[in-house]
Parts: sequence; C-alpha cells; structure tokens
Amino acid sequence: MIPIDEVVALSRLQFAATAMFHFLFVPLTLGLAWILVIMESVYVMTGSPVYKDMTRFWGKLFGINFAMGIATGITLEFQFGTNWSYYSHYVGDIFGTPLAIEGMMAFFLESTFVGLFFFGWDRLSRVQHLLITFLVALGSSLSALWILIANGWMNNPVGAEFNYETMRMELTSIVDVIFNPVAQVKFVHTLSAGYVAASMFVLGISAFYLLKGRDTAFALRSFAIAAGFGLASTLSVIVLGDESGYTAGEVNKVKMAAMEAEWHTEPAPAGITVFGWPNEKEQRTDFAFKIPYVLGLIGTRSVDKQISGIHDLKKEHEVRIRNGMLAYAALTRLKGGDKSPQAIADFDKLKHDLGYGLLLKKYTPKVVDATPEQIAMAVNDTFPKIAPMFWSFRLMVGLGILFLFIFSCSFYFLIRKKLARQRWLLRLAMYSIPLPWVAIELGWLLAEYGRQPWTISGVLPTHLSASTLQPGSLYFSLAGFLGFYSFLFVIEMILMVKYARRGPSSLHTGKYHWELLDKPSASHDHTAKA
Amino acid sequence: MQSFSANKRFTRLPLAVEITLILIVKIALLTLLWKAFFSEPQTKKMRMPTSLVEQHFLSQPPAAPASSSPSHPSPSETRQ
Repeated sequence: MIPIDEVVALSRLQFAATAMFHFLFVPLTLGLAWILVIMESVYVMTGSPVYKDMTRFWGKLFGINFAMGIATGITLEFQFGTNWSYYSHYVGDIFGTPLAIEGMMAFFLESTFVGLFFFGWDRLSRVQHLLITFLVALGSSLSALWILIANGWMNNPVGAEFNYETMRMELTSIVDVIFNPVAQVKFVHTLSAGYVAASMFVLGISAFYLLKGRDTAFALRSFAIAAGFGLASTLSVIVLGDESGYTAGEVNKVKMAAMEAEWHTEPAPAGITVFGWPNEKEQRTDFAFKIPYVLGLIGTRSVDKQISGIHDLKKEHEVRIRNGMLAYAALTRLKGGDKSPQAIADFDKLKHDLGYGLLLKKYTPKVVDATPEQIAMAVNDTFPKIAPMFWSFRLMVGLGILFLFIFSCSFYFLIRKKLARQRWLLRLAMYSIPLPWVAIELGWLLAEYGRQPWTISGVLPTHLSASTLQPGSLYFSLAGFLGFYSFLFVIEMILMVKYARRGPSSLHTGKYHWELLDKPSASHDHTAKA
Repeated sequence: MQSFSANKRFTRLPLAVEITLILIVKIALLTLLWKAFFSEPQTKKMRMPTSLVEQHFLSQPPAAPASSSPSHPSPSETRQ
C-alpha cells in the first residue's frame, strides 16, 4: 500500500521547490524590462549616448536572466499531468485557456521581441527600437497576467461550476475568471514586487560602482533611475499589499486569520498584532503587542465589520463539512444511477460544500459515516500552521519597510546631491540586492501554504489532487529538478557576477573603466564628461 | 590594479555564444527530465477517464460504460 501522505508531501515539495526556483528568475525579467524602457526613453528624448550604453548594459544582464529563466516554468506544467492528475482533470476546463495564452505570450511574443531588442540596435531607428523594448516589457507583464489569473482562480474559484457528470469544474464565465478580484490584485502586487526587485538590483550594482569610484556618470544615472522607480514601486507594493489584505479578508478569511494569529473574533475594528508569539497549543498569542483598529480597517475597509477569528471560522467549517457529507451522499446517489429531478436538486443545493465533505476522505473512505472525531480532525485541517504564516508575513512586511527606507534615502540624497558621502547607504543598497527575492518568496509562501488544505480553495483538497504514484519516482524526479535548477542558478550567478564586475566596459565602447585601464594614457574620468 | 583583460573569467567566449551553449544544455536537460519522469502523464490534455476520477473521489468501482463512456460524452465533455 502506498503511503499516500508521503506521495502528497513529495509532490507538494517538488512543486514548491520548482515554483520557488522558477520565481528567482521571473521578478528581474518583469522589472528590469520596464527600467530598460525608462532608460531608452531618456536616450530617445535626449540623444545622450550614456543612456544608450545604460540600456545596452542593463539589457545584457536582462538577457542573461531571460535566457536562464525562459522555460523554467514548463516543469510546473510537466508536474500537472503526472503528479497532480486529479487536480489537472478538475481544473482543465478553466486553466486550458489562460495557460495556452501564457505559453503563446512567453514563447512567441516575448522571445521574438527580446531577439529584436538585442539584434535590432543597428537595424531599427531609435523610436522603433524603443517600441520593441516597450513590447518586451509589455509581453513579460502580460504573460504574468495569465498565470496569475490561473493562480487567483485557485484562491477564489469564480466563473465555474462543478459538473457531476464529468467530475470536474467547468467554465461558466471567462469574464468572471479574468476579472476575478483576487487575480487582479495578485497581478499588480506581483508586478510591483518584480519592479522593486529589479530596482534594488540596479541600485545595488550601481552602488558597487560608486563605492569603487568606477564609471561614476554611468552609475549615478543608473542609480537615479533605480531610486525613483524603486521608490514608486515600493509604495505601490505597500498600497497593493494592503488591497490584497482587503481582498483576502473578503474571499479568504482563513488566510487572514492565520497570518494575523487572530484566534478569536474581536469587536470591530480589530487591532493588528505587530509582534507576538503564536502559541498553537494554547490557541493564543503570547507577548502580543497590538495597534488598535488597524487590522479591521485593512481587512474590512470599515469600522464596524468584524474580522473572523480562527475559532469562529472553524465552527463555520464544521457546518460546511457536515453539509459536505450530505453533498457527498447526494453525489454518490447520482453516480449510482439515480438521475431523478429530486436527486439533482438535492445535489445542486449542497454542491458548494462538496469540497468540505471531501476533506474527510483523508480519514475515512466512508465520508457519509464519518465519526465526530474524524469530523474534528478535518475541521482542524482547514487551517495551515499558524506560526509560518504569522512570521512570513511579518518578515515580508519588515523587508518592505526596509526597501522603502533605502529607496527614500537614495532619492533624498540624490536630490540633495550628497549621495557620494553616504557610503553606508551605498553599502546597504549593495548588500540588499538579494532581499527583494526573499520577500517575494515569503509572499508566495503566504499565498500557497496559506491556501492549505486546498489546491482549489473550498473546492478540492490537496490530498485528493495528487496522482497515485510510487514515492521512489518522486524522489528521483525531485532530485533531477533540484540538480537542474541548481545548475541554472549557479550559471546565472556566474554570468551575472562576471558581467556586473565588468560593468559597461563589457559593451566594448572604449569609454569605460576596464578598457581605460588597458590604455594607461587615457583619462580615467573620460566617461563622466562623455 | 587588475586590468580589463585580466578580469576576464570563466570563459573567453562572447556572451551570445555562452548563452547559446547554455540554452542547448538547458533544452537537453529539460528533455531528459521529461523523458525520464513526465512523458507518460496520467492526464491527457488535462483530462482523465471520468470513471477513474469517480473511483478516486467516491471510492466506487469504475462506473458502468453507459453513464460516462467516452463514446457517449455529455455536451460539456465535448467542449474541450
């Protein structure tokens, strides 16, 4: 007998590992493309060659990341059919369209324009080339849109109905799927996070050149664009994260209660726990330091609506699990051949709770005869572990505040023309390069782990989504993926460090630091005057 | 101080060649992974036989062909 928990756990680990590796490449592509648009726009408007060099140099780093990242997401689609066959069947009618459009965007549109970006400098006019750069940025953002529509649907499955004949969710409104509020908020929040990551990347590398006193004119201009774009993006992430909190409160109360360790429903408006120690055993938060009203305002946009606590939500879930048992019985009756109008009506009345009934399958094959103990265990399963949610959220928000500080200071000292003396800020910017990736991965952990025990929120439990596989093959494929992504990551790091260290000298224009060192007679500060 | 030419590391190949070689290796590795572990998915075009899904969810033996046979698809089944 296959230990099903091991298969599910391995399938989850494999999907999480590949998705997190894949998302190391994505944010830089999303953000750096728009930074290139800004740089090239300034070049087109001013004709100043340093902006062309900036576009070409940062474009080179963009190209390395794009080449490493492209097709790394395809491994997730491999896993759908093999490791998550029941999930694939359940969502196939919904996901077919967004995933096909995403594939078209990523492989054809984006790749074509990226090719034109690199090989079109001498073949296209300035404005034509700028248009291509703009289309690269637009294409990468649009391909992210379709994936996030699919992901948003998993959190808030609108525009679809369960069909008992085909045993899957079927599309009722593509408009509802596309304009799903969770997907829309997720899209803009993810994009903004990518912009922050790319801004910190450009800011940190430019800070490195400034600390070394190399190519200062080039570095200062890059630093200025990154500081401005990064400041605007960080503010967007914070505002859109707040909007995300509001949306989570509406459609995913569990996620909100878990990441706030909101054990009990408080009188409105609820306070937010800035710091504390979630004590899952005692169902309370020790040493809690709260700011009154804030959580209620974020989560409900009102002063009189309550944020549901974990205890009350569990009571609601118990009712839904009991309804789900009845839905399961009605479905069994239908599948047993009774297609009478009464049998169909009975199922239709309860089918929205079928997913909750399926949670019991983890504990008993006879869902309709589940014992109170089995129901209690299924109720407990409706929440992820609180501590990882609580700490991930606080760490992510803390990093967001740090980014706001770095970009604000950078912007301020640039305007006051005092940046060169702020070596602490340049060092901080340089050492902060990896931090946006940490924040982004924490955000994904909140989104995906926070949805547990569901693959499709309230509809399909994770333990029923996985295929019936041998654990051995999962261990081998997991090892294969880890090897594959580690290889790509190491190559990316080698190439990025190599070209970042060379800086604009890698453009071979003869104007920059390393090339001037090879020509001792040339002025070192030539670029600053160029 | 270290010169530009001395700073060249890892390879002396142009970036375009390096990236092309990496992409070739990447495609080869992806193909290998796919062939080894994912070339025979349980779902075809994100769809499984309904009887298997019923068995998985309802712990029932596969349904009689009349109710869910591919030869008698429901209108929604034909939409794919």
